[in-house]
Amino acid sequence: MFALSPSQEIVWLHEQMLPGSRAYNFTAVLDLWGALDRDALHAGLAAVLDHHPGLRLELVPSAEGLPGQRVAEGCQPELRHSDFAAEADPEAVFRQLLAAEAEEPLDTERAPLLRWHLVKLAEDHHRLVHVEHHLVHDGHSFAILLRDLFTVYRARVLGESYELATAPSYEDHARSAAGVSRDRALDFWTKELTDAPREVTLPGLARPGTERRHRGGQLRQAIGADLAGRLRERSKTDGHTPFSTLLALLAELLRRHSGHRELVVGTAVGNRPEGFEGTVGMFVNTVPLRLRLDPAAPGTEAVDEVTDVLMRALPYQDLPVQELTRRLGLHTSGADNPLWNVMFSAHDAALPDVQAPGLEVSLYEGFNTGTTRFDLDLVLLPDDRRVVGEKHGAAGMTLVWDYDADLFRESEAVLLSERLLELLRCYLDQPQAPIAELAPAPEAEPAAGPTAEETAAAAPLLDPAAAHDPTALALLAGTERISYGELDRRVTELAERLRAAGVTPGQPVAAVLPRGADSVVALLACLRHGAVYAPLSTEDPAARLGLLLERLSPALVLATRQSALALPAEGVTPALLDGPAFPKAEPTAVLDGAAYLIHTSGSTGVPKPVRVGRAALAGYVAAIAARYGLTSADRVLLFARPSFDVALEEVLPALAAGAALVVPQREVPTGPELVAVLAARGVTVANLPTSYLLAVREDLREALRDGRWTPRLLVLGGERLPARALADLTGATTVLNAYGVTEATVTSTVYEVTAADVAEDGEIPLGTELDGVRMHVLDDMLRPLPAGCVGELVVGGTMVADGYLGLPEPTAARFVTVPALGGARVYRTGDRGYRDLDGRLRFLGRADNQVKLRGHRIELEEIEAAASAELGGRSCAVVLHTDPRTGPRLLGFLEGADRPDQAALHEALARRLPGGLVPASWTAVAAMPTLPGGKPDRAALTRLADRAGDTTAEEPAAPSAFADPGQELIAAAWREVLGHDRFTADSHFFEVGGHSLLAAQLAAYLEPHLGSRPPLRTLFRHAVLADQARALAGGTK
Amino acid sequence: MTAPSAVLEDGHRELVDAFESFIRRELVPLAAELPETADQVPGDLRRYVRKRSAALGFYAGDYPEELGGSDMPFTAVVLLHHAAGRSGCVLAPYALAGSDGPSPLLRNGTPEQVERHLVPLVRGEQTRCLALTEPHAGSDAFRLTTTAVLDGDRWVLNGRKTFVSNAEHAGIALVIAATDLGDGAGPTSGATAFVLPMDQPGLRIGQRYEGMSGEPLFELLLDGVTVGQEAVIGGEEGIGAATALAIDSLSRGRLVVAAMCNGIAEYALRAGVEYAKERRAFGRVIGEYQHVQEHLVTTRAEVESSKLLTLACARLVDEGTESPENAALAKLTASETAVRAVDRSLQVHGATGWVRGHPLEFLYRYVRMTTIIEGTSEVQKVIIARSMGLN
Ligand SMILES: Cc1cc2nc3c(=O)[nH]c(=O)nc-3n(C[C@H](O)[C@H](O)[C@H](O)COP(=O)(O)OP(=O)(O)OC[C@H]3O[C@@H](n4cnc5c(N)ncnc54)[C@H](O)[C@@H]3O)c2cc1C
Repeated sequence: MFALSPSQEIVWLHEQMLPGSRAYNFTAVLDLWGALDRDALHAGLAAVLDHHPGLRLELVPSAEGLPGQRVAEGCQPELRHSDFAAEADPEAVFRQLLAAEAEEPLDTERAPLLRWHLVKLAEDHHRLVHVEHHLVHDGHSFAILLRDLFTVYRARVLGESYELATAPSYEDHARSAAGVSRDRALDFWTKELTDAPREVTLPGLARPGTERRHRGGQLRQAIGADLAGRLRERSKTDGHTPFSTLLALLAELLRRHSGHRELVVGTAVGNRPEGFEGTVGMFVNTVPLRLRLDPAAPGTEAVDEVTDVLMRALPYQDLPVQELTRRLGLHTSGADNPLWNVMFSAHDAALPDVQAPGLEVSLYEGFNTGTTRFDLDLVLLPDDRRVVGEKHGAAGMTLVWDYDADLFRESEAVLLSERLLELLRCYLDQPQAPIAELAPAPEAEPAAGPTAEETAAAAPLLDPAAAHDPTALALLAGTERISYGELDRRVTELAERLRAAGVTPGQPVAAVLPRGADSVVALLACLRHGAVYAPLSTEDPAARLGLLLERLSPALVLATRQSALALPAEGVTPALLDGPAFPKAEPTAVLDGAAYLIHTSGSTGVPKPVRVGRAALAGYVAAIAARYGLTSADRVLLFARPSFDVALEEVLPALAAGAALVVPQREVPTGPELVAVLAARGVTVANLPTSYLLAVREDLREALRDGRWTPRLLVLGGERLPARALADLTGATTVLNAYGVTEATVTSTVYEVTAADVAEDGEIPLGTELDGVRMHVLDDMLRPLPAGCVGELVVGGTMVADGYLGLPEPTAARFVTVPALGGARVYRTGDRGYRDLDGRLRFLGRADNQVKLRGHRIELEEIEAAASAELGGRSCAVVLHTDPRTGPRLLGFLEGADRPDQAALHEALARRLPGGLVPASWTAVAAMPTLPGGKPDRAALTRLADRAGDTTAEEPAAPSAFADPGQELIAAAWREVLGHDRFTADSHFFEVGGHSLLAAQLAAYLEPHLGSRPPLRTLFRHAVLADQARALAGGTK
Repeated sequence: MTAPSAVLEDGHRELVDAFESFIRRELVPLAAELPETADQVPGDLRRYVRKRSAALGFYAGDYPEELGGSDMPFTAVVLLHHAAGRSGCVLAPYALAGSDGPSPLLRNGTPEQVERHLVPLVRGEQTRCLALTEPHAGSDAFRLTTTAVLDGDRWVLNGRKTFVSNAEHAGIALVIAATDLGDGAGPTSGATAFVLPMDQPGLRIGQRYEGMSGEPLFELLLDGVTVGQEAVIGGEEGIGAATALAIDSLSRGRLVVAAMCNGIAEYALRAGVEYAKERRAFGRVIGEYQHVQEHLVTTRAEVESSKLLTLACARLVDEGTESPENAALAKLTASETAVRAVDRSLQVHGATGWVRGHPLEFLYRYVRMTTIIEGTSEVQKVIIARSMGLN
């Protein structure tokens, strides 16, 4: 008995993880045309089995975990027979048989690990189905097998003698492979893969969050002879192979669909040592190829680069991949390869030129086994159909796409394959063109902007107070009840006071007012008078308000006696709505055409005022009123603070439609308080920030269920919408997800959430554009990408803001004209996303560290800067952490041993920052995890926060502190296989030194204690000690 | 604190718990909509609370199911009013039928009147007002100058009513007018009750009076209001029967007021005790001072007695053996106790309790009406004295 070779080890481990997987069944079909000599065929099969010990290997279970293997003697070929000649549709019956054969497992403990099935389709047409386990198979070996099979066949038919070439045994290889030092290769790969991305995700095509069952789908893509010829020609001219050319184009394809320039793709390589050329056995290894794509470079350079990577890897390609993952400390969860999830390999083992008398033989290989190991596994076959023997005419090529069917639908696999082919065609047409320019996205229709007439007609949209029945209800706030008539009177009065104070149209007027009738009147009066409405938060610290006012330099600062208390004590003379005559307006710039100025947070730490024009606002109001279907029968909740632009979305379209606003009296109502207002005031349309919804959803759900509240629309936005939180809501009302940025007038896209979205529990789409808005997905070269591709979301159309007031640089950076969009002016959101194949936009995340929390766009650096200043320069980092129990919150980390004085720090920061920006808690870390550039590693900190949330015990428990005999047992097993005891009940096996082979040992160690060997799968699924103990020893039978 | 009155609450615990949970979960949160200094509850919120409470079976619970009620015993209704008062929630009183709810007068109405007017009241779909008091007829309620004169088969009403609560929200007005019974005693020989829709021609709201707290009162002017026989409560038999009908229903109304007063007194007591346990003066919590204890202990003794008295009277109502002087005793005791309890608790709170927006400041003004409505304290004493054969 001898050990498995490293290549076999992987195969075995994989099968333990996915019992029942047929991913390692190799199936091929030989078409045999002509008069078949069955005896000769049988003799041939018997002879190859007899001649090649590598075909007679079988596994021997062992007590140490990993099995051994041995060569069985006296093996007989397993040849089955079927006759479909009399069938009405022999091909159909054959397809069934083939599927069944591919699916039927091979017993790895009984040689031979292969079997044949001879099927008669007609008198002169047979098919030989060959099913072989990968433990004994590779492409080259298969060619040897075919060669020998037909050598014997031919000799038998012709009555000649034959001799088969001899070769060293696989056992020799397996034994010698065990002793090789791989340090140099390990060093090479470790360096090569430093900081490499682990996974290529194609969110625009792959269904997110699906459980991976390794169900495979397959697509065979023909590359026509003509195109294949050009590919061969081009590759040859440039000194490449068709494989490396296609690999470069695949990398570009993946860049477009993942949004990342850098990726790792695995490829299968032969690692047959010298001297073993004639040996039958498994000599395949897979290696990672780290590809970095410069999308601006000409296509030919990209291919050069890829060839280079392949060449560099060549000397080190023998390194068994599991050794590499062990060295890199990566754990494999289940069967997933931790280094890559996309494979691309070329099958180019030359087939023997066999001549079987009276037979024409051709080969069809690479069948769908129904399972797959990777998300995408492409194989390039150098021919459309492999002819064993004489070849006729120019050959095409075949790309076999095996894809994870849980991840991709067939249509998506087809789309990807078509896009690859399109890239190939374009590349061959223009090999010198920048690779990013190949196969450009079809041009999007520009957004229909309003005409001059429409803009004129839109004027009442910005002055709705006088546009409705004066007795109709306009606003309900606590005990206040304001009709349109009363509203109009108050707007008229305030507009007159503005005029009297000397405010001229176009001048900014700041409003420091709480949510309520006053803020609505101030907005409408500014719009009527033509002043530029600039709301500021009454909740901001006075110093911040002072700074913002200084930059805005408004003609007047509107406030009430109460809200004026928020203003700095000096330097600002407010115009009191409830006070005597206004002070004289300050002389200030006139901003032509502007409607309002609203601040957004900026990376410099000071928020940026966004200037939005009247035409944009009018178009927006009309678009929202239409999209939400608002009518005078609606009662619309006014929830947002006036300084937050969503307030405009609540107020203006509602009043334009003649609806009534309902203002809750609590700044932030509790769930029961909110529900009470919604129900008692009969609110029909409520727009809530997502994070707030999360806090109050149970109360909303209850009110919807018992019929207390029967809204028409629930609009959510401001942040990512977790589908699960919407359970039971979609059934009771229409739920809309609204997405937008202040820089493009509040909301750009809207999506109606369906029950199916909630059931799928995936990312809720952003939806489609409002009238007048045109969204684009651009790559980092500002080139538009087609549906399914990932890039930055940018907003175009008529509602893009004018820019940041007084900040030309940030304005130029974010508001850009895009040549590839015909010079359209757009706003770059910094959000990553894509348009799905149904045309809906989808959000993936922030491109930078700007995060959204409770509707605020927050620059984490801004908070860090403030905290660091407060702590005298101590290094600190802030992450946005989402705990499923508490929802998203900001968590701070400080370097050093001193525990921070939470309360003091909180208080100090509250003076510097608006409330939403003060982290919920601070944790001291001994050393701040950092990225290569020295910036804090937020991903590591988030994991830290995750773990802190998972366990209540702050300090690691003493090694002996295991809760019960079950944990004690598992701990003893871990100690045994890991060789140390630096773990606790909360430790993760693969984070304290475990890896797949040790897991196999663990299973073996546990067998006598548990009575049966635990499946490896269970150990992988439950990698945390306490969890493992529960699953194994806890009697979960 | 354990209360002796618990003995009499048995059997209704679940109902009271459910009602209190309704107050806590729905009404207290809704009360956040009202500014702390607001005395008046907007009409739409009152309507909402009433309908919601009716849907849950609390509102007008003692009315029979066929009229939209829950058939609960009167003792239960009294306990609910008590709970409403005790909750300190300004919206709680609107969850129960009071002087704007289904009127006992209408229970004696014709089947059409019951269907058309009483049922919507029981369901909380509308409210009513009662126009009895006149500028010159208060305690002496039946010295009416408002007249209803038969003209053919039509009644013509003229006169001036005052201190009518809920007139601005009500859908119907119950108007008591003097009628000539033809017994030779003149045009005011008897009193007859009419039910009029508030938009009845000739009927209009006059002067509005803001009170110390809570709801305003109104003048109701009747100027040639012409109605048919269908407006006479009880039809043919109702002519001249208003006095009898009114006296019939006095006990329930008074006991409901008494229950609410007991609740308010209990709330004030609790607030005082809590405050006394926290507020420090001269190095101690003030609850340790005997003069402060005096306020709270006295209140406790009065509240417990009053509550027992009210509950006992409610049980008599359920047993059909009540007598007017019992209800008078209960109402007198409860309202006077509540006024004192709030006064004392405010005293314990010092300036904190006096400031606008503090619940005690509001209650101090609010509770004051209870010794006037449904018969002044003096009138109750007259009744009690009469029952003792003193006049
Ligand atoms: C909040 C509130 C709501 C009301 N709502 C209504 C309503 O909806 N409809 C309606 O019709 N009326 C209503 N009223 C009026 C109420 O019924 C009368 O106020 C009450 O009957 C007392 O009458 P009066 O105010 O005219 O006082 P008066 O009768 O003038 O009494 C003045 C004083 O003399 C005392 N007094 C009178 N007679 C005697 C006596 N025989 N012996 C000793 N003392 C005596 C009284 O107790 C009192 O202290 C309301 C009153 C209030 C305060």
